[in-house]
Amino acid sequence: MQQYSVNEAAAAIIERQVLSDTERLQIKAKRLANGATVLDFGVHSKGGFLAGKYFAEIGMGGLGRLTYGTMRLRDHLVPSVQIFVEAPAVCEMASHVAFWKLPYRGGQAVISGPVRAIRGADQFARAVGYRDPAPSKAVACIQTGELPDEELCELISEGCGVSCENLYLLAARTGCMAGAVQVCARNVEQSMPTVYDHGFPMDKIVEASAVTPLVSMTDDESVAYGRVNDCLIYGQETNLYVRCDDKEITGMLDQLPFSKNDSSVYGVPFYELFAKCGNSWANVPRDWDAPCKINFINLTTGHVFSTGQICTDVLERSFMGERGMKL
Amino acid sequence: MNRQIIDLGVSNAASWHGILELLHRLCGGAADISYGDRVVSGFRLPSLEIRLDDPARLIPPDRQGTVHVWHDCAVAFGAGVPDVPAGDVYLMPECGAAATVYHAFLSLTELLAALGTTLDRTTFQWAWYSIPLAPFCDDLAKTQARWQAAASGGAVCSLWMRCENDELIRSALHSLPPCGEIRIHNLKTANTLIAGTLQTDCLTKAFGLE
Repeated sequence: MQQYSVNEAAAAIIERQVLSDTERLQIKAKRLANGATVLDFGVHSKGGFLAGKYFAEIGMGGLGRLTYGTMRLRDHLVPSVQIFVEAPAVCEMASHVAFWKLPYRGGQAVISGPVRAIRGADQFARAVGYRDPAPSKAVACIQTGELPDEELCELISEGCGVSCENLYLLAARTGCMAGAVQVCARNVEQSMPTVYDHGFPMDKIVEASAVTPLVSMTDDESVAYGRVNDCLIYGQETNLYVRCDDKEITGMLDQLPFSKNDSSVYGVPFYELFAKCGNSWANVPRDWDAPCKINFINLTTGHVFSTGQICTDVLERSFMGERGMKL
Repeated sequence: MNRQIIDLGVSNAASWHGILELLHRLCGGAADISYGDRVVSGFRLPSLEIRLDDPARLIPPDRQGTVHVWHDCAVAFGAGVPDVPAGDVYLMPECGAAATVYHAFLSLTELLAALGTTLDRTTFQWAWYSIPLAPFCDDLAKTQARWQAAASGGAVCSLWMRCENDELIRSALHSLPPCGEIRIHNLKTANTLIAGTLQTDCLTKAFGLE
């Protein structure tokens, strides 16, 4: 794995499969004045199912696959997003996790993707030993309602040491299908940092998979943001295949899922929780970014452990909207 | 005339995989299509799962007897190659896996067309469709009835669109014939309107699962 470049792999997907197919994928590519390439996967572009799949798989540095499935939400079937991950520590912690925070225009831009693996951009990237071995290209991803500009690309370039001419930056807003899909695909991505926070060694996670219901999206970016996060904290289920002592799992089980929070938090739509934090992730307690359900499959002992539960009440509210109805 | 004749099970064994290639083409490539499964009365049956990136452009074919003419190809049931304007021709048996999958796909095109008579199709953004694949048999009439049952009692559709007013959507949904469960998610109002329901009992009977 030390010879595998998540950035080169991601760039290969972009160059061989995406750039030649932008019309069918309903995305746009723009070369900025400083040479960086911004890929609009759903800021001004439409951003559909196909684009969402590519966004997620590029963000995972070629080590993850997304398939679409179906889940049951009480009386309704809904589409789902399934992720299958190889080398989870590299795929998620070093690449996919959205945690590289760059000061930008008085706030912060949160960057995810393989670019994080070049210098170990943040605490989760640095939690694993993998560093991208001398990539000639860098690939970054951002969830945003504004198309990234030269300034942001230059910040990323300075931070990773790859020139703008060799930088790809993917962008999508939350309120489109691609945006919703790529957030729902952050199921393993959400679970692993949570498990890391409780001291579990990342190199003991051998494989991972997860599924998230794709319940709702809307044009209103803040409502869309809340609903898609509901899909993760109330609906996603992650499987972590590990090799360890059972006690390393059982010792932290109760502390992992979102349901560990009390009723002032658990059962409240994320839209409301985020508003309480001034709509800033900087103010969101770490315990609020927790997965709905995790299953540990211990390859060493054959035992399986589970923690957390799906909350259909909140998901159904997201699905229907405030004034939705069944005729 | 540069035309290909693609045999989806008339004189070879091609069926499940080949028909997906056709459906992908009929969606202009703007779709993710796969097989899944649906449980009907304890029977786990295959299903067709379609995720459309461009539902606005999916128009039903022009049906000319046993030939369906699409915008750049034709589908014909049976062994004879029809005399149609230039374009590839896909041949398939009247009954069988390919025809069942094809008719399941047709039901989505017909649903979108029905919605398009009262709603502005240009505002359709994305669609998701799940339909159980009816247990086909050599009896064409029985199989056709099962296709119809799957569409009217087993299909689930989510359509994401923009509409100023939920009432317009409500009115459109009221005018639909039975089509399983159809949900329209209005991106402008953030509300979901649902019409229809899955008819498990009817499906069980129609599919011969009793």
